[in-house]
Amino acid sequence: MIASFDRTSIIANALSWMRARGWHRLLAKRSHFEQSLLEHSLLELDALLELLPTLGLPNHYDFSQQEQEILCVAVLVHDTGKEAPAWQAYVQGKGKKVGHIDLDLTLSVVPEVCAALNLNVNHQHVHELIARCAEFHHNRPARSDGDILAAMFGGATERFQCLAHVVKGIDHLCSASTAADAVRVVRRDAALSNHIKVALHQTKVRGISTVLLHAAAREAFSNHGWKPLLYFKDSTVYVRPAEESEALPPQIQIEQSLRSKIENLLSKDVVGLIIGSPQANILPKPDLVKFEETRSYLRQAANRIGSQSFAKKAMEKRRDVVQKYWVLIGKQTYPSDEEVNSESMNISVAQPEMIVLKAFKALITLCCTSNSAESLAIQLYEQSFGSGSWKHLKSTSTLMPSRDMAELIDPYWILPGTTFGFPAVSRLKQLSEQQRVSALIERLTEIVQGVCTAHGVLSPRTELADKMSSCFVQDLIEPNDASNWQEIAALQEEHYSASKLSAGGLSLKAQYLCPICNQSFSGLSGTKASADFVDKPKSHTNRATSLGSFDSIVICHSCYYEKLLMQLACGEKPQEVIYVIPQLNLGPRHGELLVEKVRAWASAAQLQLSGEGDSSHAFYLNVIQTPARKILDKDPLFLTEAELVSLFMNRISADKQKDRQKKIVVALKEEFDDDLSEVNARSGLTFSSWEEAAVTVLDKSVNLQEFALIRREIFRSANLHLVCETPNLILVPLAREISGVNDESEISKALRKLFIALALGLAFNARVAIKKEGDGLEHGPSAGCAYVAPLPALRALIEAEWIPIPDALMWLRAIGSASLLSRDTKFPERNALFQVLSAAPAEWIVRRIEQASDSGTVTMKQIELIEQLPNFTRRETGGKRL
Amino acid sequence: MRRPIAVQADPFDIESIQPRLNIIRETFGRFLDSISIKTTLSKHGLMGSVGKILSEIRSGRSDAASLKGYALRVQEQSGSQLSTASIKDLESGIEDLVELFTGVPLAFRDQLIDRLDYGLYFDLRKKNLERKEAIIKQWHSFLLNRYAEIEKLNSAWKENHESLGDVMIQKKATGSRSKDATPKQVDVFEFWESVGKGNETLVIEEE
Repeated sequence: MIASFDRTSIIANALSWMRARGWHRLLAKRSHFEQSLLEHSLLELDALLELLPTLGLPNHYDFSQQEQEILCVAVLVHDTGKEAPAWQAYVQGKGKKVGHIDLDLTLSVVPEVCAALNLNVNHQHVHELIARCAEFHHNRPARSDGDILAAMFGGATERFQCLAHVVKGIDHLCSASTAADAVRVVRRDAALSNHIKVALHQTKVRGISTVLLHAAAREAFSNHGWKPLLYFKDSTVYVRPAEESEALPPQIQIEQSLRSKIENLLSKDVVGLIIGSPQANILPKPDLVKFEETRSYLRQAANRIGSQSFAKKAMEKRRDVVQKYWVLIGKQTYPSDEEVNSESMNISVAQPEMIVLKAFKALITLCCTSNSAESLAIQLYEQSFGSGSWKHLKSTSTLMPSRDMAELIDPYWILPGTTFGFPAVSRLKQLSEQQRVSALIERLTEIVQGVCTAHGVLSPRTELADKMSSCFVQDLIEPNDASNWQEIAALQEEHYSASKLSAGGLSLKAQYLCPICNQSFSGLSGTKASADFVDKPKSHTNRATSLGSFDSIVICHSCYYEKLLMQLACGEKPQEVIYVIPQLNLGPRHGELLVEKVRAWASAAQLQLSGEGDSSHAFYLNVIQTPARKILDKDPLFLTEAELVSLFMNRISADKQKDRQKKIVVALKEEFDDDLSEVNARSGLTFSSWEEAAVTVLDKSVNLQEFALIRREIFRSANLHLVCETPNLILVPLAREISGVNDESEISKALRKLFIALALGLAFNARVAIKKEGDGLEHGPSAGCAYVAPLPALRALIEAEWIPIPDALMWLRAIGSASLLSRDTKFPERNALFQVLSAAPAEWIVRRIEQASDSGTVTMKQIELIEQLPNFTRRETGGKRL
Repeated sequence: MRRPIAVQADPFDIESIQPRLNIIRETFGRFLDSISIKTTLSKHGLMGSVGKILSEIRSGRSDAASLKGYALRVQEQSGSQLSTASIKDLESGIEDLVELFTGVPLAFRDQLIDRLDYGLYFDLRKKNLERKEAIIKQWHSFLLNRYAEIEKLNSAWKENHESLGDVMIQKKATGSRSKDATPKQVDVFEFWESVGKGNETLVIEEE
């Protein structure tokens, strides 16, 4: 019978012991990836604890309680020798090759670890056995006999060899750099393969769809009895007892699971995403349309433009439009200023109706899936708007006030009131603006829904989850029902050569290669990229410009759906995304801990951003002075959850608080029609002034929905979203770019992002990249803690694409110190952060501060900050960076 | 026929000379510690004759003997007496610097002098601030020993401070132990007596 371990407490205790020893700043692995000694040792302990219930069974190894404890300690200390400075220098390429086996050191830490893990292992010979088991993992076959003999002479049991092989097997499994390698390791190692079966799922890394695909695959594998063992960025290794079936879940089950996850996202309110720009594409995401929601879309369209916006334009511009309008309606005279003003008022008031008609035109086009449906649409439309009106509607394009006024609005306004149920007016023009817009929306909604009902037209959104899941499931590399990689590669090559001619426009017969993900596809499975999805789609690639005209790039459906899904999940188009990924891989329990930690941080941030948090503080990611001040003398890994949450909280100044109060008063008056008694009636309190009510809104002492909405509106700064399902890949999309002053240089912005990435990377013990939405994660291997933006000056300063784990704390402190010094140096704000950080020699900053300050002096605190800068010459390290 | 001459030279790495630069920085630092300084307020005052040597070298003067003579003359003019050890430090610093300076490529000479100049100045300023902080700490513990509570000090000095930590350090000249001296003047006088000579300059100037 196997006694069960309290996995959570063993992992927590192991974490504390390793943190205290500084293993989070030391490396265990470094090649095309990096893993800290803490992460590596913890991963092995985590994997062992997952496997012990199987390995320990009587029909397997039949481990006693003490043997299980021996294994736990042995895997935790197996790489203790790597903490030696000489080995650390070697692994970082700064010293000669040295071994990491140090039996004396391992022996010395074993009693400490036993005590730290609260394990009842006190005998000297057991400690020695643990140390020898730990050492065995690195021995080559010819040398291992020595260890076995030494262990036997030292009083070890005959079980030593078995325990040592399990430690070795676990180490090799967890040291594999990919999931496929891990699976191969287990299958070749009899110490494991006789007892467990392993499988994996692997996917292309795309973004939000990858997060969902990882979750769907995990769900499908779990339903087949597999348990996740190792999480990689692109894959997960699963495990189950050897005697069980090794059947894998079929791809269709993963697809079903993925579809239900996408359906969850689609059930969100997406009305705000449907209507695009009246000047460009009014319906940029037709796939999201649900015809039942037509009324809401048209209302949204009406609100897209103000009824006074045209009237506010300069006289010259208005005159130009009015003149064109007059030509269209057959007036040949030159309008006077008075006439321009009068016509401008009409055009201005008509603009919301113009947008409504544009949105209707796009919706009805979508709805007319057959000729008969179109005939019905024409019939219904002309019944309401008069004969020939359909032709005019179809002939208009993007917003053109003169033409739209002449061809759409004037014919509508002159209709008799009775046609729209207003017998009191002879012409619709006599109605109030609001009544006319509402009547138009109602009639157009009836037409759309009439056509849909009569012809059974399905809304695009009803099929969207199916389409998306069948596209995204093709990203699965393993298990994949039809993966012939040679064929795929040959097809890609063929498409690459053939796609140059057609890269600049959509043609159904053409062959394409997606410029975002390199997938080959035909014109039928492609989408013309619009600015709504891809930044500058017309200048996205230089391919094909020499081969003819270039309109917009064409992207594959998977990339299009990926962009759509991201907007769906966020309810808006995010500007940047924080990616949180494992250093290399994570065990099951530690993976859950990462997910919990990120969720707690993001939820607290969202609570604050929604106005329901602490009203005396605000959450800002773009202000790095505050976290710098809080974090400079600390190691982020030691931050408690509360400290991590409060890292980016800034106290709101008294002036700002007053300003907020004023805004709340305005919002309250608007919400309650300037009637304080209405507020009193709703809240059940007796406020004597609006200011008094505003204080209640701020301090959240009254639980009223209207108050919560006002708070959300007033406190709203940049939204932060969370897409978190499994530890493989976590996304935190940001509504706005992280930036300081408005005209801040790209390099200073990049430094802000790097600081945040470092703080989060160190706190979560993971790799963090902050990138522009759409840039995506790199596909190849990469090593380090935080991603450095590809700006030549920044890369030259940092000398890395990812900041290595051992250097992460140094750079966090350097950027934090530079941010605290930047104000005192009085460099131009847009570039101050970089100028301070790159000052060479850093000691020059003392003079700069003295010259820039009124007192002409520098303080001890500033001296200490300067000492943290990267170009500070440290005499104790021979002038080199720490 | 002309033969092409191929020259393969490793690019110069300024970091390679940093250890030698550090030794020179320490030598000059030791020299400046051993001489009395008139003012700590300006860079000019803190760097003394070393600042002048660095200016001369930057402008192209690289003869060690003449630089030594020049430095000694500057010291004489400032009226300070140099010990044998100080002269030795000054000489050794100049010799090492000239040797290093003439050995590095022209393009890196300004960087070298900048590193030494600002590095040394940073050390001096930091040392100065540390001494200042130490004296302020001594001042507060002096008051704490004497009065124990702020109320007692306020009553003796007839002033109104919130805590002992708020009481600013006073210039030595404001102290007195004459018959008519106030308790505050006596305290200031006795504090500076207890601190000893040499330390008052740096604090008083900046207060």
